[in-house]
Amino acid sequence: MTSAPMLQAINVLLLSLLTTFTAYGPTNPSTPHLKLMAAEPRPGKPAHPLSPCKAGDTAAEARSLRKSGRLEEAIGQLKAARGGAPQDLELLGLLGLCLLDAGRQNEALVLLGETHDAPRDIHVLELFRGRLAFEQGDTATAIAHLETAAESPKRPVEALVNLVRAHAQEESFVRAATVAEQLESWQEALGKRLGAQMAEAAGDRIMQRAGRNVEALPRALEKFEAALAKDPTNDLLARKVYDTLVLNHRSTSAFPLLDRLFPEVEGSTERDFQTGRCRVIAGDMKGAEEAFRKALAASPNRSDAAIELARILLSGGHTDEVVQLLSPFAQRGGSHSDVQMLLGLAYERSGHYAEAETFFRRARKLSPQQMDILYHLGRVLIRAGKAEEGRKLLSEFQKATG
Amino acid sequence: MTTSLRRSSGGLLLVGIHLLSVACGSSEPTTRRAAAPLVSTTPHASVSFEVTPTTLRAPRPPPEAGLWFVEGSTELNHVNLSGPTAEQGKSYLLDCIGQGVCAADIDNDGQLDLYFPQGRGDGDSQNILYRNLGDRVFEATENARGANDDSYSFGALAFDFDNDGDLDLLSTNFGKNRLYRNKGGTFTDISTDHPDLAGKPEDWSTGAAAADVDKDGDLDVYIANYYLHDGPALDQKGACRFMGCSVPCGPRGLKAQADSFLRNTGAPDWALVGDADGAGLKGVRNAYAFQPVFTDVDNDGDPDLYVANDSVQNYLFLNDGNGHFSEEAVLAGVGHGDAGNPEAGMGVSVADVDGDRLPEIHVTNFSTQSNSFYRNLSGDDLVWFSEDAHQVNLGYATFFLLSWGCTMADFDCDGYIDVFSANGHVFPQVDDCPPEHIIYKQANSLFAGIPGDEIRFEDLGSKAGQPFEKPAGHRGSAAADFDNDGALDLVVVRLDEKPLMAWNDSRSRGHWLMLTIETPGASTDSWRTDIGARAIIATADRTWTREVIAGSSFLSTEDPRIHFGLGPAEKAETLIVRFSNGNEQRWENVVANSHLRVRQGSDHLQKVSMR
Repeated sequence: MTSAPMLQAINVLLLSLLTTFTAYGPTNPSTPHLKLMAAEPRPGKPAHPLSPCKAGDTAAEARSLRKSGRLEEAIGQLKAARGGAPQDLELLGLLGLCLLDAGRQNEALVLLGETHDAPRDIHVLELFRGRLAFEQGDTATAIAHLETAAESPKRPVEALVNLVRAHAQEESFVRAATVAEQLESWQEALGKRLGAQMAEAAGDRIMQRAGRNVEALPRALEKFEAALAKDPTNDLLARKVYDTLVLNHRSTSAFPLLDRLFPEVEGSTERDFQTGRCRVIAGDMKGAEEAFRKALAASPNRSDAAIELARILLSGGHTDEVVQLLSPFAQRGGSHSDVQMLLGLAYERSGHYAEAETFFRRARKLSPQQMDILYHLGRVLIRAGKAEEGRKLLSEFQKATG
Repeated sequence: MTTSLRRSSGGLLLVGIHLLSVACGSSEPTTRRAAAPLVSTTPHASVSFEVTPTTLRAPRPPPEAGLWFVEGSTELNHVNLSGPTAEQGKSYLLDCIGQGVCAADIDNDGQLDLYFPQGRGDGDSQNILYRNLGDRVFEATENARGANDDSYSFGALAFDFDNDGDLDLLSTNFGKNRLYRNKGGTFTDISTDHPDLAGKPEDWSTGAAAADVDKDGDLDVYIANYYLHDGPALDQKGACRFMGCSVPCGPRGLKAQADSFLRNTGAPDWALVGDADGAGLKGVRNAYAFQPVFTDVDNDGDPDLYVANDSVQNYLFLNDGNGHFSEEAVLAGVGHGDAGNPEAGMGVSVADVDGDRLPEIHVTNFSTQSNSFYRNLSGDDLVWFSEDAHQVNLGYATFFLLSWGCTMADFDCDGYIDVFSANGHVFPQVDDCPPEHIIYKQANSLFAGIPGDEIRFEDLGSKAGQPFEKPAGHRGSAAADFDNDGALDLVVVRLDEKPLMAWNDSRSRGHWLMLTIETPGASTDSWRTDIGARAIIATADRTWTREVIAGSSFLSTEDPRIHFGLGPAEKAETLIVRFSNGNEQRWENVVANSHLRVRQGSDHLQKVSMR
């Protein structure tokens, strides 16, 4: 039997998943779901290689680091440990989960390539496969892996929480409720942590749907804040709160979290980068530019800082500097579609339509669902004399965006 | 809307989309095309008058240079009504949108009067007409001289639909619209003679604009409609959410209404007959429309139409010269914001900012959307705009504001267009919930055009005087020279408060010219304002182009006279007027600082008394 409080909790969760918002407000269908940005390794204990026999210790330590939100340390340790035990699939699965937590989906995908022939009885590996499939939008595969992961003899809380999300995504609400019921049976043992995970799951789900409506963001923030209140030492949750605050333009609340999440440590550029983000939402563009430049000066390979700086430069009409700044990033494999997009815009604005077309096409290949790329590509094609194709793309854009 | 523009992207991008200009489509650097003179320091006599302070603080003295407005005229003494007040609680969007204002010379005495739509519709409130008595004094008229619409009104358009030389009034309503015929300064309700214009009782009309789209010598009308307001259904639905606040629902999720196009049959009936089909508007998707404006975007001699729509893409209807339109906003780059996302368009103003004879378009948008500045780069048979708000400094400065009424005009007559916007959030509830930087009552904005080759604006903030200090629920606005001193003043609607009259007392104004452009009316001795006419003035190094427009800003009508700021130039070397029927006339060495009446077919520029 499902107790009344749990049913209520499930209802709240499911309701939050189903709620659509029609409130008046800025339509921004371009809102992405929350993804934690790749951060630099957090200063602290240095990563060090371990012998294969120490792999079990490493996994335990990495789990502990992950639980406390110290993802980069966990990733560093796991990568080092895998150097000595490349066949250890548990380490691989754990590393994959940490990468997903850190929003480094591309790296997680590369890792997945190593799991083709892996057996299906390794809980953490299945959890990783399931979560990655879910993030890739392949819910059916995600459910298959997560159900396997949920067969673990230990309490597979994370697998079940993700299974609730996946079933809800499939709109299989009865199944979602059944899984939630199982979670409920562990509630006493897990206490606040389960509550935090439930709230976190609700927040995550809202963020995934936020692509449809920016109005969902404050609700996601409420969920993450509720989760953090239940699990206040969890830096991963604090990070989600922070990121959602930034997306909500809540600079006054976001700034104080900088000290907790991104302490000023010599050699780290994360503080500068995050300061830049906060300054952007506060409307202090000069300050933001300064912070992003500082982050880039110390860490020239930071594509996220380069992208943000490029946006500011483009707004000021500094197209040449944008090209100079982003070109090295564009030449690297797996370049972010934003890099291509911003280069396209810079070339378009400076009247170099052929180059702009090239970059918009590359951006489109990397992010085919991103409608604004279609818009800009369509317009630049018309300017480049390819009116028929341009009109076709713009028509496609109009249909897609209503 | 079901497709995410950036569904697959990371969190970084949201900030970029919201805040940062990854703008589109510009092919050229944002520079003016004509050489520019230095900033004007030409003194201009200021008018002496007594200002009624609205706060206990002593008014600041006007600065020696720069734009300067003072709040005045307690004669505009009605409190604007729009459903319950914010304090009483506004539970429908209907009560939050607010009204526009109409500046029009109702009695042909050379001074612009003021007509205020009122929104309550309870039978006790009615639209208000003030006569301009000169010397900055207005007087409320009894029963608005017959134009006392007691509906739930939103907008007002002054236009001479029967070519008799008097400005008639259209009052747009939630409910049937009203058309008032003007005879010698008094009005008769003739709405029943124009059922297509009046519409249905459930219609919610907002802004309106007029132009002779088919060049048959009479004015046709476009009326924007919003959504089908169903109070009981909304009551059942309950409140919606906005950034964590509980607020009235809409417009998204509610049924958008089709706009109305009325073609004027001309003499002898002067009937305004619905002809959306004939105008080519039938297949266009219904939108939550606020303000249309007619302007010749491609300089081909016929009025095109731009419509600011809320929450969905804006529309640009290109005229084929016969009053048949095709919608080309996306292709032209004026349908969306700089990141290719639809925004919540409220008001719209047009003006040739860069001196290339093509009008730029300025659209006011919702909070967390910068106002848009579409630079017109059309040419070679291609209508083409670039959204340059960030480049011209209208981006970040307007990001957290929610703007409504707007005007691009040369307020200090220095030869460079300035930009005004009336601000205030739509929801009173935002003050009681989390959004930082977003407040209900907001101060208005004035951006001064910075002299130079590049288009750049400087946010003056409160430097422009008291009217830009005091926050309020500002809505519709109109720029007009109410005191006939050669400088454009501003009147702004404030929800639940008296209107703001902002007199332009900038001391160091440049030279100016004001033109009333007229064309023959229906009878042999009548003349009417030639809506759609265009005047081009050239000095040794600059060119300015202005159009006669009826219907702009937000649900408003602005000064129908053309105003030029000439900077240090004491005369226009050439003045070319292209009348709405395509005829052109040219004059040379036109001396500045005067108001001239230009009548089609006459070589004489008649000087109009400014007092």
